[in-house]
Amino acid sequence: MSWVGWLTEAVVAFNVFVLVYFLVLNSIYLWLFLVSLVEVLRFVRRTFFSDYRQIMQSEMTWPISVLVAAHDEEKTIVDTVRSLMMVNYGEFEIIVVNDGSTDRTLRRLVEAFDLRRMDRVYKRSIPTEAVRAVYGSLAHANLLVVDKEKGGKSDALNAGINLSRYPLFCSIDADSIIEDNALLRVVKPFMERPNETVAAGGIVRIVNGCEVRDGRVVKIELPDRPIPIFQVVEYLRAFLTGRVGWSALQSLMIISGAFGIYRKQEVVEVGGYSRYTETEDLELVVRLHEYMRTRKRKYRIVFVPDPVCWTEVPESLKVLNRQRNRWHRGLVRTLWDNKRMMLNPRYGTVGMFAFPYFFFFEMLGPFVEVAGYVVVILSLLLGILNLEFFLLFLGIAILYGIFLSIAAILLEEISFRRYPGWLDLTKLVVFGILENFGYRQLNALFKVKAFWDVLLRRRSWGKMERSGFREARGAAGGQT
Amino acid sequence: MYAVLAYSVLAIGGVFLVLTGLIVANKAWRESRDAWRRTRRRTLEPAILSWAHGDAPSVRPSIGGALKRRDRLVVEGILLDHAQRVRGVERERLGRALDDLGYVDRWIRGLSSWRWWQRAESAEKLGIAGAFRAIDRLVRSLADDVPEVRIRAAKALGAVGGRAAVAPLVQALREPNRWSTIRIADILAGMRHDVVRELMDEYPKMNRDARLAALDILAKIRSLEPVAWLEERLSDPDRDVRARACHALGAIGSPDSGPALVRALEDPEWPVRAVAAKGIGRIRHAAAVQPLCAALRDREWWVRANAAESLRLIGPKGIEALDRMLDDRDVYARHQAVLMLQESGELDRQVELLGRPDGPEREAAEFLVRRFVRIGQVGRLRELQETHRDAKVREALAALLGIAAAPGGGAP
Amino acid sequence: MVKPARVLVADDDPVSARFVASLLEERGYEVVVAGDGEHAVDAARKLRPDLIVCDVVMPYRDGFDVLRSVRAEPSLSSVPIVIVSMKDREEDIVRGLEAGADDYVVKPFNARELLTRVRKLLNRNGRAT
Repeated sequence: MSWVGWLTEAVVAFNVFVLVYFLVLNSIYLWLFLVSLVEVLRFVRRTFFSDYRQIMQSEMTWPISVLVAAHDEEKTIVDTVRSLMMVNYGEFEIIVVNDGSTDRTLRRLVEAFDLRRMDRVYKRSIPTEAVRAVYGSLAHANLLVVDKEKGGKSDALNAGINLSRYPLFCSIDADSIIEDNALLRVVKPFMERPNETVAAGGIVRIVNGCEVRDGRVVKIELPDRPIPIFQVVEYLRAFLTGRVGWSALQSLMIISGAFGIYRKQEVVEVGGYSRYTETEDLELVVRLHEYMRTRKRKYRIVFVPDPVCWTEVPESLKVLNRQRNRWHRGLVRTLWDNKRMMLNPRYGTVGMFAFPYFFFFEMLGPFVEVAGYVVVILSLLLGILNLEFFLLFLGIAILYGIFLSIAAILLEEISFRRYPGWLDLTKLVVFGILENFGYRQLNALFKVKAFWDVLLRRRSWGKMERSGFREARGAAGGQT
Repeated sequence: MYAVLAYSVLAIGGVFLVLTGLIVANKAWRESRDAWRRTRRRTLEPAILSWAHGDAPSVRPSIGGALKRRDRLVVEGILLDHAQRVRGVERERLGRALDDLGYVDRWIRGLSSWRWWQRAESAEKLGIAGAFRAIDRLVRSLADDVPEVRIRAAKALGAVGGRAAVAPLVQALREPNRWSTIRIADILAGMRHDVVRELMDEYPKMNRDARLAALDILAKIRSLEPVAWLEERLSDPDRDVRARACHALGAIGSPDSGPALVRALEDPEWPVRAVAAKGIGRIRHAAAVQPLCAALRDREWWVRANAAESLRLIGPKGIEALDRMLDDRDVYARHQAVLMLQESGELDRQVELLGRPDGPEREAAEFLVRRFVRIGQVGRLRELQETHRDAKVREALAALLGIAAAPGGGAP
Repeated sequence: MVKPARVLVADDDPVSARFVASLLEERGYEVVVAGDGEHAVDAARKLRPDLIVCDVVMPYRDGFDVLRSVRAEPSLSSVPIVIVSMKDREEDIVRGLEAGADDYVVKPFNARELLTRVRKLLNRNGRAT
């Protein structure tokens, strides 16, 4: 057989593989969507009458320590803290950890809240970089500011955990905007099953385009520029059809770093946030699963399908690339570190289902997609392109993609309806379609590049550079 | 192959079209319905409100005679919205209108619906309407299979009020689901004095969770009636019961419960000691300075923190005791005293006095600062030494800290 | 004929605002409604009401803020202000009255009680209904 013959055979085989791969992947998506549909409908009914106000006034809700890791946030940090103080909740404390900022972050806080040094002695449950000073405020007894040497976001959060007083802590990004009732919404699973719930998260929304005043979103609108709009569709899909579904299957792998509540005891037991990853949110949740399943403890990690916070997403391709690169590297790294969970029945649905899904589809998916395009072009050049196959592949891939986006928009429409206008809805649908022509492929490329970076730098993983906080936003783990 | 291709594309495309159609139709229908309701509401609301403010017997004339089918939800919305926001005569009138127009009957039937959310909704609405005649039916709903319905029913009973509602709610505290227990406890706490007797009487028959909830409710109601009874609970074998009883005594704040709380500082279980320490502060029991100082040496952080806070709340005598504790042999006690003297602003106030001319006040201040220096807790003092606006204070601090005074400057 | 007294109702809950407005209009007062703290202060400056009924929790500027701004205005410093709020704890009520409110009514309120309080405050300031 000639080399063209071999190549043709190989291309055909690959084509079949890609086709099967896509069918399996999209069937999983479809299934997740159906699970989510049921869950969201049930949830919406449940909150038909919300009694958050009474819950807030209850002295019986658990107190929470809110941790804010801040690095060079001088512009926003005071507003962030102010808006946090307005959150509806019974008893909570705010711990801002200034992670070796080089700007006037600390100064601004000291001035705005009349902070003074406290000689506070505490237990270092998790080792961190040196804490330089602890500040308190006479006027705001529930505010604590920790000044420490730079150690990255994880390290800052760990320092916050060490100094926190309450059994639950909530980690948020310094630049995310918290909904007034966010703590109440997400603490509910902890109250319902106090002995089992170890972590819970909620829906993260995109603030680009919205009108923000005094640290709260006053008018919800879609962004003007296309790149953020694509991400709105992406987030809707990821949160409404992805995480809701995974949570229902007891195998939620990510709680967004922008907002998540955890039980301190378990997090301290697993040694806190890992310093050797750039997606500490994903990493912590996976490690919690690992820890709890290994010890055969009964536990729940829950996603509450209720909006909790707003985050800003990249407006330019360059920043988007950087963000996705970071997320994907974090994903690869976390999966690699916990590879023993893969298809291991000991880890239940997480090991048998969620983990393989993340491995084959989230991690390797972009590879297959890009390879698919390359092979198509290759076969075109070789003159062995099977037009039927090409169209079938393209038709299914793109239409399925559109279907999933539209399905997510439908879920939003029947549940929260945060984008009220007809124009917004039309925009969302149009961008849900357009997304499949360019944006999606670009994202796949970003991720392949990230994977490549990991392979090249494999040996230096141990001391992976810690990026700043600025782009440490939103929903790690792309699609779902 | 072509057929497969065509069918696949058609099928997926079809699903996509259907979905889009669903979204559009859903939105269009909802929006036009809402628009119509808003218009209708604008006409009906002023008439209904005007009736509520007045004293005409029937609401019917103001909605144009009999209730029309198409107005049913609009009128219901108006009546419920306002009934929730007022009390007294007007709420009664709105509630009566809801009964008069047949809503109450409808909701009582709704309590037996097979859809749980309908049952929950009906219960909630009966509560808002203050439908007294639905009490029996609501009590039955306290045993519903779905927790959400049970909570709504409890809430409704709480809103309707009266003794007839209290007893079944107290019974319902036995609820296995913690969330509903909390909600029911809140509702009972909101009903205040009707509840106290009933809780104390029923307590022996309750299970553990219900007992804990009962103690929490008494803490929230803050009636003086159960104080002696709560003190008896301090010798309960269950540590959580003892802790909750301490909490309740602190919350009620009767000065008489001081000695009982001081005894609880000796409890073998730290959560009890912690809550007792806190309670003493809440009732400002000045005689407890000595035992609180002892509690500053506790091995548990919460006990120490609460004891320090309570010493501060007790006032000058407590602050003095905190000062003295700076020399304590116990390192935990020292740290706690340092922190509390800083958090209360006492250290700053004393440092302020360093700028005064010589005298007893200044001497006392210097004495305090020296103590801080001796045990090495100088973070705040250093900061003050650098930033204090008064040069005299900076100098005095520098001397006490044993460092050269920063030249010039002042607060940046 | 005496000009009816003008009452400014500031409340971010439109249902509640409509209720209070209709209650007062029924008794012949002229009512202006403001949906947030900022509008409330603007309206108070422009329309010079004879009495203000003000909610505490409002967007942009809360009731205490409104109270301070209104009191700071010389021409408005003696306008009676009634706070109507869901906050029913002792310290909230004390804080409200100390911030310069003439009366504090807890939501959900008693309609006839609110009316009487409003009328008495207006009479005290020499305004008839």
